[in-house]
Amino acid sequence: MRPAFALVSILCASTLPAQIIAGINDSRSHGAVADSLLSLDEAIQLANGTIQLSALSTQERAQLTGISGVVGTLRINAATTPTITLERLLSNVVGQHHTHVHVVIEGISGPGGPPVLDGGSLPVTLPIRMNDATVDNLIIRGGQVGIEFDSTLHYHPSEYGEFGELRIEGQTAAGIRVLNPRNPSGQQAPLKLHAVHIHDTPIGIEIIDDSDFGNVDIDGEHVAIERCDIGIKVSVDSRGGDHVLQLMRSQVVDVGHCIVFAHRTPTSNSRWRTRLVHGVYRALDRAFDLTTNASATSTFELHHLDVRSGVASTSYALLAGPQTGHLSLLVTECTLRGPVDIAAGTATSSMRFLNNRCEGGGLSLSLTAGSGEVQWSNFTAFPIDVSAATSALPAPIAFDACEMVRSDITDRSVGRTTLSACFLGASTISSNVQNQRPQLTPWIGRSAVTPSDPPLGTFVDLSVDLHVGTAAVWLLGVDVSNPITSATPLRFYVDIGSALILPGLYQLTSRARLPIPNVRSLRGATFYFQAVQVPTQGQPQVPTVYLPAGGAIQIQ
Amino acid sequence: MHCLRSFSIALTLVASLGAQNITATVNDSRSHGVVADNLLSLDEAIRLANGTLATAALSAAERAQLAGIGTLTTIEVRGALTPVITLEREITPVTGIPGAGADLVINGVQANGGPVLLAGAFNYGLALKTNRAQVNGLAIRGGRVGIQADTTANLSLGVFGIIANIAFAAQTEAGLRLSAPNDQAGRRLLLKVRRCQFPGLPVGIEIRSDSDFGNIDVEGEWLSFTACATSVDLLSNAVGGRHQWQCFRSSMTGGDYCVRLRRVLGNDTEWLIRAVYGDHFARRTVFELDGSTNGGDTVFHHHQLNVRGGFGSGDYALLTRPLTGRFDLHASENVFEGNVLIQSGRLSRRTWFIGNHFQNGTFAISTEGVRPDLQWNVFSSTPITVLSTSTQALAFTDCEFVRSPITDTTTSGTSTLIGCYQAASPTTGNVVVQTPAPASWTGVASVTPVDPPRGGFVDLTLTLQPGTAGMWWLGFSEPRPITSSYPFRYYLMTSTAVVIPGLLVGQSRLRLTIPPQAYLIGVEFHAQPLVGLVLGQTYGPAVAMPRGGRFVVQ
Repeated sequence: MRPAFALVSILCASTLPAQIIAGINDSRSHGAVADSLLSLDEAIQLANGTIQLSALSTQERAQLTGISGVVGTLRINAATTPTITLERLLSNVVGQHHTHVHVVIEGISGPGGPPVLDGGSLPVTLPIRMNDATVDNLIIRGGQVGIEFDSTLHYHPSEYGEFGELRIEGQTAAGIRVLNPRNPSGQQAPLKLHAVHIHDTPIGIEIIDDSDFGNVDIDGEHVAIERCDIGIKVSVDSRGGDHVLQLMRSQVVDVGHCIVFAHRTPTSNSRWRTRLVHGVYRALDRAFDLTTNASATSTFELHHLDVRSGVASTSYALLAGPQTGHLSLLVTECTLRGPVDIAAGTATSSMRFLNNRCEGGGLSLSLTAGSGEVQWSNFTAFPIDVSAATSALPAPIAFDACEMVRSDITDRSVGRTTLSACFLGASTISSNVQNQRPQLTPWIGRSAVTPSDPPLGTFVDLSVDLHVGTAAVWLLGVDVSNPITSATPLRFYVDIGSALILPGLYQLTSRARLPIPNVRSLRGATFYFQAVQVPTQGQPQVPTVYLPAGGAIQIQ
Repeated sequence: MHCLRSFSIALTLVASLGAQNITATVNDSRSHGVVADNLLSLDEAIRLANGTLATAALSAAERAQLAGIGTLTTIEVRGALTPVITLEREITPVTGIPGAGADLVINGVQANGGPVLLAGAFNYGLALKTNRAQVNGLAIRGGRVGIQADTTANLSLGVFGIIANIAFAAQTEAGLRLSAPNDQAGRRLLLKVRRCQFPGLPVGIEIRSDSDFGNIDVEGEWLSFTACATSVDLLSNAVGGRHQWQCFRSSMTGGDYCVRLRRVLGNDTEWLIRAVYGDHFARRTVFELDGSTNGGDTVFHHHQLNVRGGFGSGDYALLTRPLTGRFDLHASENVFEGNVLIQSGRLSRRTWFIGNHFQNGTFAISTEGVRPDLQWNVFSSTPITVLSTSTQALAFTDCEFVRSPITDTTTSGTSTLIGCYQAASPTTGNVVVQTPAPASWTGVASVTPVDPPRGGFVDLTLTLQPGTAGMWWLGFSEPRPITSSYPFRYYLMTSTAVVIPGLLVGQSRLRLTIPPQAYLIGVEFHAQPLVGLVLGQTYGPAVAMPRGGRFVVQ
């Protein structure tokens, strides 16, 4: 048995090329082949197989470590090469088609931090044309585009490009540009982002999807985009295929617009799904500007977000349309500050708005087909306007157990709005709004968890702000990295299997301070605190269990 | 030599007897017990202090509960010894030490969840009829009123009575009732209330002005009112006189009303109401103030507050009334959520609102008095209405309006916007707009938590508009800030303040580590942002001081 296992291992190993680490020590991007320094471009060409090891000088070869084979890792040590300045465009990172090698470009931090790749005013600072590549721990500075990513020259099924621990700054067009061009058909653009910080560029991430039956699949976590005109711009002119953009635990702040999404042409019929979970999206103008069309479903799922628009009359926290668009919108556990305008018009369009808090704005609904549902949401100084076009809606838009405070409801349709068990505080409704089982008291509580990044040995404060007749306990558990957000009526952002109930029953405005043990193993751990609200007086209109949006922490 | 020896003997004797003055330690769980039994009761101790019960009347066992020599100045109730005292009948009011040479201190030493005074259905738990009294460290449960205080037995000018660290509970009328009664004119009341809790009471503190030409001066600090129907109820019934209620660093949440001043018809008493630092959230109205129509001032200063009114159309974050009431209103660095209705009549001296944030409510104003100062305020989703009854010219200077239309319903138009920024905030045609600001300039800051433990941290968060930059200033908190200064009010002692290095733009956060030194416990700091225009803008102030925040190291 054992010899057979060894034989198989040897056979397997022989089919996989051993990888070489290339230590780049030339501060020029290209230098000269066979000089005394190994440049980044030379290393890329080695990884691509477009120059041979034998072409290098002895000193350059001395920068290679590992057993013979192909170059798989391109390492830049900032202690010796703090900055690489591009002399001209770098060679595309393509890898080698006939060797299954994952190309890694990685920086090693020096005294001044990670190494810098400075693109000056060149069109692209780092062109990645394959999906089986990783870029890690670099500062990408300048260039018209910081990193341009596609898989046009080399695509590996089941592999994702990975960008991690990057700072991308000072581009004149976009920090990251993801391309999924039309030709040939079936282009793929799979990419994962982790701890990528993009700032001071016109567009943080630009996604241009023109593919035929292709897929864009971008999954980001801890992405931070600041001081851009547009945080993320998605331009879709693709036909067929399913495309996804997911961002978890990310923030897009101090930008003109957070996310601008556009199905650019009426004939673009690819299905696009944008899903954002846990995040802060604050714009100086529009937080989410989402243009749909009638040819395909544009799905937007917004969960557990803090969303704030600018203050101009054209600013929106969420703008989705046009009237003829096919929209599938699910918004849960969000706080929205600023106007929300939602329009859709195909039979399978849906607008579900669950457990949100809307303050200081307004909700305009114009649905000519499909369905609209609003549940357990609080509207404060957030008037609701239902357009005349909504008259064609087959079933009324249902507001279930919501609270309207200084938020009038005006239905300009033939009466396509129904309130069920809602509380109206200083809020009038137009006469054609059906108000069933109106409630005299509010019940929707709120909670806060601060700070989100407590150091070891300190504390986290758990605060609730509840109405009379309700009380809450706190659940503490592991933060779910990708929660099931389609569940109803309750969605759990905490891992219930690991959750503990913290002692104490809280009412009204109260706070519990939880110490963070000074145990090193906790560093980096993430937890989620979930307040669980219950009625204390058996009120029939109050759900037996209600989960206000809680908060996650990551221990520092 | 003989003298020296006598002196040392005297010192030794005094030391062996204990402290100067007498401390009576109550050890009877009955409020009264029986004089000359084995236990010293609270009522017996109060009567001893009042001078209405002679020490000679006590049994030897009771006398053993007295320590020290001289005057009985302290009554001690130890939770470890007497965790609960149950009232058998109304306890004797404290009238003060005969001659009023010192305060009588009733001091609870907490242990075993006590000491608790159970007042049942009696009129009060404790009664003070002098301002030369201090009550500290008790839980008082039940009674129509927890503590009832006036100065009908003894008034010493220049001395404030103290009620501190009292947990009131289950009173059927009020936790604390303070009054200048109508038994004679000119009654006074001088009292400070510190670190008391008032949970779920009909009224937390009731202050009654029933004495003509009386004078009430009550100051509260570190008070917590939770779910009281009314937290502080000021009842102005008598003629003339001047009263003030000042409250610092206190929270009033979960109740219907936070502070109400209610006047009987024709009442002309002058009132000063002042609130500085604190959270005031009401299910109905936070500040509801009746003004006098007979010439008496209602002065209302409020600064550095979080104010949230209720959800009904008749609920307010701030309500002043009636239209003809005489007011002096002075507010800065507040955050108001909910409706604000300001009505001030012809004799009103001042309507001064500077550096406040009004959000998610309405702002309506009718003023006939001195021209109002409305400067550097931000109105967000707060429509403004100048009521048709308003006759005084009204200027909003360097204010910002976001989704807050301005409607002037006066016939001729009395409103002017000077240097204001309007975003999605139209004005009616009769509002004059002068030199509009093209962009926003106001910053928003927060300081959390307000009670960091030593060795912990405090986060200073600043959200600034484009074209502005800021820095933080940190110093000892000013206990009683001068809130009338203009254009800036300093909530920190500037002589102790240091600038924290770092110029900040956009959204930023500074985390300050609190050193672990024990001497920092209890020290209150204030972090104050300073914000300046950096692009040479011609609108907005060159330097602004957005509302900062204080924190107390635990």
